[in-house]
Amino acid sequence: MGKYILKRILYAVIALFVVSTIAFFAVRMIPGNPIEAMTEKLPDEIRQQVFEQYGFDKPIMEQYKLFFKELFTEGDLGESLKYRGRKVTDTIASYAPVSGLLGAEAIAIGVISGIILGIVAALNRGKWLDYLVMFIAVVGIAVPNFVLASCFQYFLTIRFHLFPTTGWEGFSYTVLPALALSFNSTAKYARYMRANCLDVLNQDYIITAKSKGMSKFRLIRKHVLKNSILPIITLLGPQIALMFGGAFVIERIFAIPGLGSYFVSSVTDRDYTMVMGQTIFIAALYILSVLIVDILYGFIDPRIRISQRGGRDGN
Amino acid sequence: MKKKVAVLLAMAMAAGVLSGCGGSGGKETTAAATEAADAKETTAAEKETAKETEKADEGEKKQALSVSLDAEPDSLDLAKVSDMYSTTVVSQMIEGLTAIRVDENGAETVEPGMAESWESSEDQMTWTFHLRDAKWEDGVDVKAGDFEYAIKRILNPETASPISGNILFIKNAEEAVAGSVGIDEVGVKALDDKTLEIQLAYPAPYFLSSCAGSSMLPMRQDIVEANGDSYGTEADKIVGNGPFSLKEWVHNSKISYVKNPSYWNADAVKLEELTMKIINEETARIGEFENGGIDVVPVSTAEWVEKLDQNKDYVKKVVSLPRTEYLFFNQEVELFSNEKVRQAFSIALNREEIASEVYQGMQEPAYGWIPNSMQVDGVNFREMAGEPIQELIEENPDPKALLIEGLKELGMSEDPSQVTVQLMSRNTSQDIAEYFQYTFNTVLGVNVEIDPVEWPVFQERNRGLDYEMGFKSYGADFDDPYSMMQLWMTGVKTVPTGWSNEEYDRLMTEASQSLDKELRAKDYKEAEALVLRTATICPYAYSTDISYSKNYVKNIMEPVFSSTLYKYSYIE
Repeated sequence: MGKYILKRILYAVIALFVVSTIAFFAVRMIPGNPIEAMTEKLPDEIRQQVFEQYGFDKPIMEQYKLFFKELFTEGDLGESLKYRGRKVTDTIASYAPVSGLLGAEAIAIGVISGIILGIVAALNRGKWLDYLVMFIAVVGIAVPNFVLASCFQYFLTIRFHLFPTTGWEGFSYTVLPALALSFNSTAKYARYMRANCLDVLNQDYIITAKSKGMSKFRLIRKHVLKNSILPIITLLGPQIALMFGGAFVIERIFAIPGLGSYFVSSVTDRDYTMVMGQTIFIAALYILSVLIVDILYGFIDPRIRISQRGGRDGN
Repeated sequence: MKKKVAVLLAMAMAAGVLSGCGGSGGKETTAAATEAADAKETTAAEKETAKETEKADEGEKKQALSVSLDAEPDSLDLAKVSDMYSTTVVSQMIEGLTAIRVDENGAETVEPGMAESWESSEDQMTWTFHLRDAKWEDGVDVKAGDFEYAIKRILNPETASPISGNILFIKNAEEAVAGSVGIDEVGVKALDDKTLEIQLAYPAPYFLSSCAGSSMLPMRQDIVEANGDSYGTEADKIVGNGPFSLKEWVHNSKISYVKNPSYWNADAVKLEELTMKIINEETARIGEFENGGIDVVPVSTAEWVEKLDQNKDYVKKVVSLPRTEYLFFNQEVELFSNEKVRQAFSIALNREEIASEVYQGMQEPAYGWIPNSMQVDGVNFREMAGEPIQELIEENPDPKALLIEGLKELGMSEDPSQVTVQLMSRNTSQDIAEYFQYTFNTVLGVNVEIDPVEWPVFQERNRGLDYEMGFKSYGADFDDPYSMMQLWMTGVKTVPTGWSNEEYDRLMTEASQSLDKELRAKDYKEAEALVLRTATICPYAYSTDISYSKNYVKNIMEPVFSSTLYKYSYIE
């Protein structure tokens, strides 16, 4: 297991390096540069001075080397080109927790309600409760979360003053955005959970357990839940990373000071350093969460553990 | 019934299983959850106190104003940025030599700020300011040297300041920015702690109002140097001397001020608290306004204007901005090198229709380049100069015939339907681009291809003359025609069109260096007519700013050329 984890970490580092290299060149290949994104009134001399200040006059390979040198030796991602004087690392450090909290809340809501709805639907297969859950699931997948967010905002804050309209100053501010953000995953988890449950419910051992007179409560807890929850965990990994970047529309609608709003604006502003910082952060998070899920999986599912051991013996 | 119980139990169990799973990898999650719980408690507590204070103040209205800011300020170090959000934030906390006062009718006067009094030489080229006894928030005296330092910092080529262009009226400023003279040659000098002398390169009639603007605010050398690059990036990395003290800046969320008790004119400041909520989305802003979260809201879409107009508790305010929207042509493209062709495009536009249909009354139709809100030496420019485009339209009632004449002169096919023009457009202005496409096709018979690009690309292609026709808006920085009209002088590369005209350059130079009001007015009028009658550019709309406020909000000042000021605002 230890060797396996080490190997995975090595792959993760390589992947991260490749991703940031691609990002480095890709962002510079988009037409228009950060200085063009600044004011139109910049005189030519100033334009040149700014160019030199940021080292854009150097050959691109030299800029590339410099970027990674600073990243590896000092852990420094540089200074934002738009928000003058602000370190990219500081920006990420102060906004990521906001997005993280919002994302965590949304994932928690999504997973819990999704699992419950899925089980409810499976146990009531073909009845109105099942249809209701599946209807919710279809709506949840079909309706984009920003539409939902706008509806929530209009009805629950402007029409009926139940929640604050915008801002980020406490728990009540997180409810609507988290709900809007979670709806899609609720739907997804509910569908998965329902399918998995049905699968498990048709297994022979369930029928055996039933025939032995095991109570429904114990049956669900002991057999159904444990066996059908596994695939949900695989879905969870990538979702954690996506929550940071995927919430940008929601963050804009509710004026939440999270990382998401920078994700888009840094590209339109051609804020190269900010784009790089964000890319590396999200990529690292994604790779890390996939890694954790894989390892967790090994702990939960004995079959995977065994096959890995087999694999190692084979080497 | 049994089933329902089972469902409930399943729910409870699912939660149980999950929390069990989380044990191994869930340290962060738990931390986050606790944080959330903490946040909940504090806000609950805060709300309680807020409620109590509200109750206590019920007899007398609490002097607290909340407004919105459309975007996060780039930095509060005004030497390094030029966005309006940054200047708005700083303008509430730092005061310049003079200050602008706007009365109920929108008339502006210059009043003393940090300078108690001032005098100028006969030729208005040398100005001496006498500073009052004022203090920075941290108790340090405001000195003439703070102004000298700030101005020199902006003009220093090492700073590469995007706003240096706003103060080129200072002697040797242009040369210093270009690096041809040392920064010490710049015409600004602290004669002693309380006396500042500024020498000008040419007599600028707008100089005293510029002294109130964001490009000439004082800076504290010790604070700038102590913070280095991070000066102005956080609330505690800048100090002010103005009506409000910056208390908190939560990036991308809100900016809060409290009244600065050490401000020299603190008695005139009634607001105790001022909050700016940073909200990017218009719908969210208006929601926040209707919900009571903010007291003032800017509106830019006709639908919202219609809706907010219906509420009698909201006070509408329309302010003409010194900003003009215009089409411009790349004259290095063969088609647009012909004057008649350009004129035909300008005449083809129905400016009334643009204002009423495309902008639904949110903009005013423009028949000149200098907007309604601007003056030349105290006289309204438009009233003085008339409407050059109106005249052009009256002289040439048939733009299509004019176009065909032009095509003939160029030796091109005389069939307009053979002509295809690329219209470079910002990806955010689709409506008006489609209007142009439709109008030029129906009126002139030419085909227009819309080429939507992002702002940086727009700029890059504009500069590289890699376009055929484009449209954008331009705003003046100070109340003099020069601010708008210098754009079309030879060598100015802000919006390159490939046009160069000796007569225009001559008129502009003469006007900007003269003190003779009549000559200046005449020169600017002729120069504007030249650029519009040759249809080098074709303006079509003047921008306006529409905002709504709750009826208890009083006296928000919106100077035409500088940021909105809340200094004298109050709650009634």
